[in-house]
Amino acid sequence: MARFAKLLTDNDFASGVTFYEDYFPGDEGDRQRLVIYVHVGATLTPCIVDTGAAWCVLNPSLAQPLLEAERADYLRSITYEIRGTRYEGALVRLDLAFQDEISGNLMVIDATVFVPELRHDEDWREPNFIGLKGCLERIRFAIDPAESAFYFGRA
Amino acid sequence: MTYATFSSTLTFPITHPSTASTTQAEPDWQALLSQHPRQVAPAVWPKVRHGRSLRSIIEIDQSTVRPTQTPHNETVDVTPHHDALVQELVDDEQLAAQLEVYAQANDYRAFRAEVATMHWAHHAPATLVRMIKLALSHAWLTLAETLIEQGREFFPHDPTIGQIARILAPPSITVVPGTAPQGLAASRMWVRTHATAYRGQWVAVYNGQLLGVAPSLDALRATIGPLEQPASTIITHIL
Repeated sequence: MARFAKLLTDNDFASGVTFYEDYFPGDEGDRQRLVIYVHVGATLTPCIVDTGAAWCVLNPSLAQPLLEAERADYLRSITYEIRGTRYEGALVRLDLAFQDEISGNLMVIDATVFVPELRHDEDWREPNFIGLKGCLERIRFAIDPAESAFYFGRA
Repeated sequence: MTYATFSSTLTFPITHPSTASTTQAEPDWQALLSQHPRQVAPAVWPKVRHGRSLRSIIEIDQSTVRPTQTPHNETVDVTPHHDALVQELVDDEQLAAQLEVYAQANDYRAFRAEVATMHWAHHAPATLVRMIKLALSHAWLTLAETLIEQGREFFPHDPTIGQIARILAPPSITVVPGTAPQGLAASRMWVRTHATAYRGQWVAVYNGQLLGVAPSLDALRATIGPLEQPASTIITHIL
């Protein structure tokens, strides 16, 4: 497993590796994705890696505890289009962490993510995304499809 | 005689950039005040940069604007200058409204071209914040960054612009020690295999075993209680 881990870490390309799935839980349709598990605060949850997405996107239920604990600064009245639908929400600055499955070490990034603001009667039915701005833009990463390995490190 | 506070809010003596050299030549007040407001505006930028927009200066001082007096006790009529400046502000407000129209139409080129003509010294910080949010909302990120830089230049003490700059700052990364997660591959396998049976629910999975199911994250947390291995427990909403 992770046959390139030593090569990439010894040469300071990556600081860790995790393994990805090819679909987000429950996502309908034949959509093959690159889904990694990321820590949002203390919650380990799946996120689609989307280098074409401007922002990371999080389910508001995941961000809410961090906002309530005042562990996240935010800017409201931002809109963002997700899968063809424009949502209103906030850009939130909070910690995401990628965990090396070999050592357990965490690479913590204070990312900027879009969090939709829902009405009380609304449910959020979109996946989480790891996007370029405010997150991947500062991460060095590589994938090995042979092992579904996602190597990551600080750029 | 009522003296204008309009003039007292400016930094005296006014020096136009072209005359702002090491020489201490007295400015020609009448000539200065007869200039087009856009040409005068750079002279008041230092004041604007210290926390007040030109708009706020004008609005506060509008009722007592005429006539005014220079520090040298010359009385001058600034009415034409003031009126022209107010018109400039009205024009810029219309320009801001036009920018919103371009944003609504997702017309990046028109938005970028118009925003380049904006004279931020004529605006309240809130107007610039509005434009930054429009740019961010359309993922025009380079343009948003440019506007944020201008905001920090013109309104360095504005708390909202400072907050935006902090939120949009490049992320920092730290690596902290942890312990290797347990049973994560088995948990991923469980999610892959069983997710469709729990659509619309939140699930918690540890070491390949389902810990709990609930319709909301709060309800799930209440169901499963404190986690023994939070770093190894997958929690996800099934779409």
